[in-house]
Amino acid sequence: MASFRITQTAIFLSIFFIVQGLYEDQAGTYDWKQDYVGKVTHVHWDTSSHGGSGKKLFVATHLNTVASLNSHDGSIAWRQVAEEDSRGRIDTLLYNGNYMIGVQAGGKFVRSWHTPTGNLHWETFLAADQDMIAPAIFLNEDKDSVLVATAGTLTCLKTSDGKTEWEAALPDGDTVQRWYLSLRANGDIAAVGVSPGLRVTVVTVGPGGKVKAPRKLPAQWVQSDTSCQAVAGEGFVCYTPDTSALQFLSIQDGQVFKATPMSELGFSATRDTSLGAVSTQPGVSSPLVLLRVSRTHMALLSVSPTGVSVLRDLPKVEAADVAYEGEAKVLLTVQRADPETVEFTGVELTSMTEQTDVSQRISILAGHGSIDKIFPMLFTKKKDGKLGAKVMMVAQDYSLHCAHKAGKAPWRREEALAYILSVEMVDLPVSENEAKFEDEFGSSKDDILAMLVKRIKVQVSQLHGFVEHLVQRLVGHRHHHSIVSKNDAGDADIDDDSDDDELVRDAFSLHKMIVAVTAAGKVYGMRSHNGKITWQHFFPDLAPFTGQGQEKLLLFVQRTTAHFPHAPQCAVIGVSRKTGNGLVFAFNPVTGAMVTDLPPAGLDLGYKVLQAQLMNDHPDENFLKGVLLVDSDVKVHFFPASMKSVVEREGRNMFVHLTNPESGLMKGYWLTPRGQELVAENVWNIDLQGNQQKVTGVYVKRSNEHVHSQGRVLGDRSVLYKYLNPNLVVVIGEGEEASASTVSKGPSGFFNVYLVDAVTGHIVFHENHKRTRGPVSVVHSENWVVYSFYSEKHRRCEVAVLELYEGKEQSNATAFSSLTPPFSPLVLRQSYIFPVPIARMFPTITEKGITSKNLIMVLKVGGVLSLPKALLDPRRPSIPSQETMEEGTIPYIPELPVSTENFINYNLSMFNVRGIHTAPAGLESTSLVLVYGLDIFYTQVMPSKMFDVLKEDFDYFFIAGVLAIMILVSVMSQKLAARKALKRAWQ
Amino acid sequence: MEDAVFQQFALILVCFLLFSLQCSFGADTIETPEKSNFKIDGKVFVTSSKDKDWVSNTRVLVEGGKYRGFLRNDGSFSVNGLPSGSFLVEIANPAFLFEPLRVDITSAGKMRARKVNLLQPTKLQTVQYPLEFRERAKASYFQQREQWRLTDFLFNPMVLTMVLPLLLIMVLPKMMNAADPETRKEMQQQMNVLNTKPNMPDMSEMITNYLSGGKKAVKSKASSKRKS
Repeated sequence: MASFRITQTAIFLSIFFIVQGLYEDQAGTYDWKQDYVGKVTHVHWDTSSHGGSGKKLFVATHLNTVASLNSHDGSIAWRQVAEEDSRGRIDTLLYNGNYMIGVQAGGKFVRSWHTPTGNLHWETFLAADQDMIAPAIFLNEDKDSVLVATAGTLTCLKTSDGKTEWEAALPDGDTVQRWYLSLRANGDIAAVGVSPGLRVTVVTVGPGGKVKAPRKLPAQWVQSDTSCQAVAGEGFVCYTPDTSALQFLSIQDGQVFKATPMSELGFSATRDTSLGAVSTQPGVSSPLVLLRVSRTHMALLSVSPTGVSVLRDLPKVEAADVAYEGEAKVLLTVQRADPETVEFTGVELTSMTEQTDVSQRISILAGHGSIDKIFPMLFTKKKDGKLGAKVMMVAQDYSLHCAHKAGKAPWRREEALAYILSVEMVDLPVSENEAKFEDEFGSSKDDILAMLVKRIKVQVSQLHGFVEHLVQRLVGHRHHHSIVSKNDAGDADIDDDSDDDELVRDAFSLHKMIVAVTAAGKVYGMRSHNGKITWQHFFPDLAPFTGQGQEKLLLFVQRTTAHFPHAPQCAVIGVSRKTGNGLVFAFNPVTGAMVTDLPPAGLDLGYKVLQAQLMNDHPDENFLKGVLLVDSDVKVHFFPASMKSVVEREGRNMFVHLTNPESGLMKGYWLTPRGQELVAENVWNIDLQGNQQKVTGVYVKRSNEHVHSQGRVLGDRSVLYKYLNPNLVVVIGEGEEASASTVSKGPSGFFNVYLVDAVTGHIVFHENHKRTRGPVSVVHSENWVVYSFYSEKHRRCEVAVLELYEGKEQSNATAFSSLTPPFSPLVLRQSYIFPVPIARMFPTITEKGITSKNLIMVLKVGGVLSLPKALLDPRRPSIPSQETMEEGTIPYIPELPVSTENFINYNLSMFNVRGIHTAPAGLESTSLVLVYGLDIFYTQVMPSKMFDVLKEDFDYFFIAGVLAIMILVSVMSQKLAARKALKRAWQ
Repeated sequence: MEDAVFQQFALILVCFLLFSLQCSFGADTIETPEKSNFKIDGKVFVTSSKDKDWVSNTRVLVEGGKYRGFLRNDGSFSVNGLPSGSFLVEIANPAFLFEPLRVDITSAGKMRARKVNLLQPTKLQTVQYPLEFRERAKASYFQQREQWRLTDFLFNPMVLTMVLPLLLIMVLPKMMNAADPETRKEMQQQMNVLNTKPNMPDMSEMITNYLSGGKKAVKSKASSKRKS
């Protein structure tokens, strides 16, 4: 019924609004979407008998996704996305022909997926602890039973329907954080449980679920993230980084751990030293375990009941695994041959001879970092009965590389793009010709003749360029659009048809360079019109800032493209994985070239960064904007360091505010020179009562936003001036309170909205929402704030809007000053029912701010809605009158209309959206939108319709035809009239 | 069509209401943090699509995706591991629209499904449980492109307002011609009175003069010859 009303209101509102939908044939012309799966953790090759093996890849990823990839090109055949939190985490993935079994959330959910379609086959719910990682193995070779170890129970499930065959209670269920399962040669199941900081529990379980002789061994060194492996039901091996030694325990009868220092094995431990499992055949256990000594050194260890021995040292090897085919048992290793290729080697394990059939060279650039994991598949070639190998590799930068056919170029998936944290869109530079044009006007020293010659030269070259362009148009324009780039031998990053895609600004500056910074430490430059990657950089040391369960990497545009001949510059600020200090990279966002005066591994700032902001008002003589950094001791730094002198020279007041989300303390600082230093002096404090509420967000306005009109014309022709305080920040504090009423059972949530002037610390406005729940998403722009929340009282999503006005008179028309503020502003507010849950909100932005704004709302059902701001207007009257009609406000309706025609992503549903970015285009009417999360979606929106260019469906032929007919008619009628006049004269 | 379905539903619902009043829930049940494992069962039906492709891209979102369910081949689903509370169950499919439903689970495990009423959250309209979702409509994301048709053009009010004066201009002078010259003279006089600024150069005249400048000279010569 609710949605029925939606359609009614939608019809009603369409009287006021032209529905701004797409036409069906426009789908895909301005927009593109790329689907990702995330960092791959589990891989299985399709070995089902029908249709040939190795056609599909089944993967489970770090982003809680189960998917099937086509192995010939890497495209997604199907994908299922589970919950974003630990409830959806995939602990183990087992594969069984037409079905695969995923164990999720510590064994809470065991799901069997139908591999050809991706539909759920069965789902079993087990009592489990969501935070622990549950292992699972097949009980025997037939794969008809699967064993899952949850916190306190070992459960045997039938793979056909998920029914429980038997259960066995495991000891120490309350302390064990992680179980390791392995099969013993006699068919028993060995389970080793790790209780962090306490002990290791060893249990053997008989095939019917009979628990035999649990043993508890004290082991204080063991942690939940200690790298351990249970091998072949015989031994349990752990690596302890503190003592850099391997700890071995015999499962059969071991009473103490036997420590073997790494040096004894002939290796020296590094930061990356860990143990890795070797793939096994189902129901069979293998006594092998892989030891990663460093990123480029591995070793194959053999585990026997007596101890660990090195079977094969693998120096230079980045990743290794064992694959099986028939009787063959081959160890595949990968190592870097040169910066552009990696080399595969296969070693038959029983005879320890090299398998030359399997060995191959594959081009993978060194820019992807080292190879983290390989997932090989062996097969027997039909032609000659020789062995062949297909290999999937996961590189350090999360990218997937797959050599699916010998001699063919491998495909690549850039899965780091599913982890975008910050985005900027940078204008492309003007073409060389136009730059020359600028140059011509720029220099005043030349005499007239030189200028004339220059001008003629420029115009000739422009003509040349135009002719070339025409020729290109005639030859035909190629478009290709795939996220899976097939890299040919050599440089894959510079694409093949580079002259077609020159990095030059188009007429309306609609094509931009999207700079995306990802949590993997990878930075991408993408063409906005087709989503193609132009350049990429991988910084292995770059890690995001973490806090409150959120990850952040900061990206600043220090210099835009507007300052020819100076190259544009962007800076990324993150945390160094090595030292934990701030780490800065600077590069040219258009070409991807690194700034040469910084070290290639990034500039380690030498202090922990608490806050960083771009100093918009203080460009230096080269138009470079500095970044102001505050370290953990509230000392002020600048990047580049030379910016300090610029700030000192200009001598303008600068203010900084810091918020501690834990203590709820907001502090404002004023930067004052003290001696040689600039010191942050505390000027105001606000205690937001951190014990009652958590500060979940501080929202400032976008610095590049323009407000075109200073006020709003009312129905009686008077002007209501906007309160445009650039220093205003919105602070959200969310909390819970024990409810006073007896009806409700649990505590009820609330949240507070504070509007704070960041210079003076003055709280301009405060609002408390009781019986509500977050997450509160906030949009702060111009003179208004829009926020969405969940109302527990009414059980619905609501959206509220605050608009601030100075009143009918403006206190200071030229500039706003927080130090002499206007009287407390008039705050108009209204709230609305939003029929569907909202995930994220962001406002559109245009070049000059003349175009009205839309809110881009990502709905949790997957739609991206573009909602006109005029619907969120606190001046919407409940009873329309002549005056409100004059003002053009829409009558108030409690429910906001959500129409599928306003979904800018039409049927391309978005999953797990992390953020939205908007950027102005050169056209005032157009705003560019990028929605990122697991998928990336890019489009253009025109909030006030296309008012500055002709529509793309403009009928030129029709207009030209009408015009021609009109001319013809006028000529004819003139002739006729002349004849008639002549006749009349003869009369 | 939708209305008819609604009325049917409403009738059934009245019966349901009587039952459900007995076990009246406080409208304020709030999720309790205690660990309890309830589950929501249901089935999704799409009758308008023959192939089964819709199953794999349909998702069940409980509380906006905080808990998720996946469809089996036959369209049924169950969302396990839920605490007690009130949950909004939505079906997300890019091609079809479904009505969301709300499921209340008491701490004792009693279940009740009801329609979502955003304006009056306390109003109770129970529906059957296990949940049944049927597609309400095909999602229409696109506008219809306007096509140019002659009839549209002719019946356009702008065109009609143009045609009528045109007719008047064309037909009226013809009717006037039939009248005698005296009335014509009268008309001309009236026209002259109306034309208050006779000295103002007429724009259209100027343009015609300009365009047919050469010809005029020839004409004037011809007329002068005739005079002589």
